[in-house]
Amino acid sequence: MISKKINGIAVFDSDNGKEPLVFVHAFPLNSGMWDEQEKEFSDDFRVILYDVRGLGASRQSNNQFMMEHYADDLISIIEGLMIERINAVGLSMGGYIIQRALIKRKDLFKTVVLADTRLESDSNDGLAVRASAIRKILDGQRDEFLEGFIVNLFNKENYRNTELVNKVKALISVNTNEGIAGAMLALATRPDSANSFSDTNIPVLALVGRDDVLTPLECSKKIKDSFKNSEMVVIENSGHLSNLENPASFNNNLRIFLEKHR
Amino acid sequence: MKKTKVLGVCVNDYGGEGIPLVFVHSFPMSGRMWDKQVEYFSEKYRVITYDIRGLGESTTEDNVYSMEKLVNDFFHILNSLKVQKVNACGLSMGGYILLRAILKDTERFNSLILVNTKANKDDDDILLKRSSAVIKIQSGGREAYLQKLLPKLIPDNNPEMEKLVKDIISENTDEGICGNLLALSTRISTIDKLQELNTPILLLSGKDDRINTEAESENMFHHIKEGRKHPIFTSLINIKNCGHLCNLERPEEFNKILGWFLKGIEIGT
Repeated sequence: MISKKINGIAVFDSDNGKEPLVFVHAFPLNSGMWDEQEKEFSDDFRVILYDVRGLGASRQSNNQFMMEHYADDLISIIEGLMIERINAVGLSMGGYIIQRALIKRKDLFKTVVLADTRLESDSNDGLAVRASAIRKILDGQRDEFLEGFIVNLFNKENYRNTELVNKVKALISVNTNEGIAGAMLALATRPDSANSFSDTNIPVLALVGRDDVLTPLECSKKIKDSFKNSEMVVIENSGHLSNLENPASFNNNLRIFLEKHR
Repeated sequence: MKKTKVLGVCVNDYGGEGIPLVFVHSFPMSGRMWDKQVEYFSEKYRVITYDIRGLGESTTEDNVYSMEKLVNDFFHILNSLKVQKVNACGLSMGGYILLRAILKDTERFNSLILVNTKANKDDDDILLKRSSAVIKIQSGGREAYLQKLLPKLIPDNNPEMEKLVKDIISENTDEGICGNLLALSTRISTIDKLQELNTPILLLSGKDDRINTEAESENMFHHIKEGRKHPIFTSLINIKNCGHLCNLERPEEFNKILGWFLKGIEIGT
């Protein structure tokens, strides 16, 4: 992987001349969550990973941003690498980012995979939960917040897998409080895209962990219904982090989809 | 006047007896916008103004803003001044803060005055406008942004007010303005909760306000009235030939109406 900086964003690019496949990570992790996908797809795709603004190696001194910054970052990465069109895979927050970028620049996407994510913006209750989470993080209760948050990322069985849970904790641990709070604000300020895709013809795959409690199956059903050219696959034995909890099934279904549209 | 800092928030306490009258300013102004109200009301009431975090002389440690934080600041101020109950008046963003605050702790409010504000959260169009404003300001386009905003705040042919508004805004940093834009975007909708309120409430609306229209005040008024079990003071008053910053544009009228309302509560209670 070659490290690059584009507009302050840390980008990791296999730059092998093959078809581009960009992965966008979940909150509050970083590009390291795509290890298993990088291994699986690097031989036949140009795998591109990046750390979302404020997180991982894309740390910022000013963490005031909104979802629009994130969407613009993805667009400027594609343009900065002088790529015509990408296959994009986003999980949870990564999915929100791809949706916004897709609304702004349809021409940059060949296929889109939206994993464990949703179209709707935050509800009133959701916004209130985020506000209290931000306060906890900035008031020095980051660990309490994360303990409560991480439980919901996995299904019950996988939460007992210490190695997996520790990997996720390690990915989160490099992020600053301000970066996490900033990302939370960006999530809270995202617009709704439930009615934005009725005339989008791009092939879309909705993936979702069977036991995902943060973005349950109905969310992916709505994604499937909202696009014209779309399909949905449920990943068994998995909660919200389907690419980490069941990488074999995630990769297999991703490969089938990508090959179909190659 | 006693100036204090409460967790970085600059508070002006003009002193006096009785239930204080707290003014909460609008975006992207500061406590200075209430000077004419301070002058008018401080003889009779204990007037308190403050600069919302990130604006005026108020600072922040982490540059992370949310509506919730601004609401908590309001309570921190009351606690620090050892004030139990207040009459609170908020314009636009000040109103958003007070609406959230009164729903969190109704007991702290003797009365509430909401000027050119609304109870609905940002819709997607406004969210996107806010994010493009933040992006614009962060990339050095503050002046261009303000040029579009100012005509909505300042009426034609009022050079004195134009000078004051520009002067107040010029003291604010880019980060403070962006932070408050973010805070505005994170607010939740309070319209369905208004029925729960049993506090005297005055809604004031400038007829020509293009930011928060008359319809928004009317909408709040109906929701508030719907829930009233007792005939407690609730009024909606429109000010003609007046835009967003009512208190600056029509200070005499504004002060008189607010004065009547406060007097009415005293008589009524």
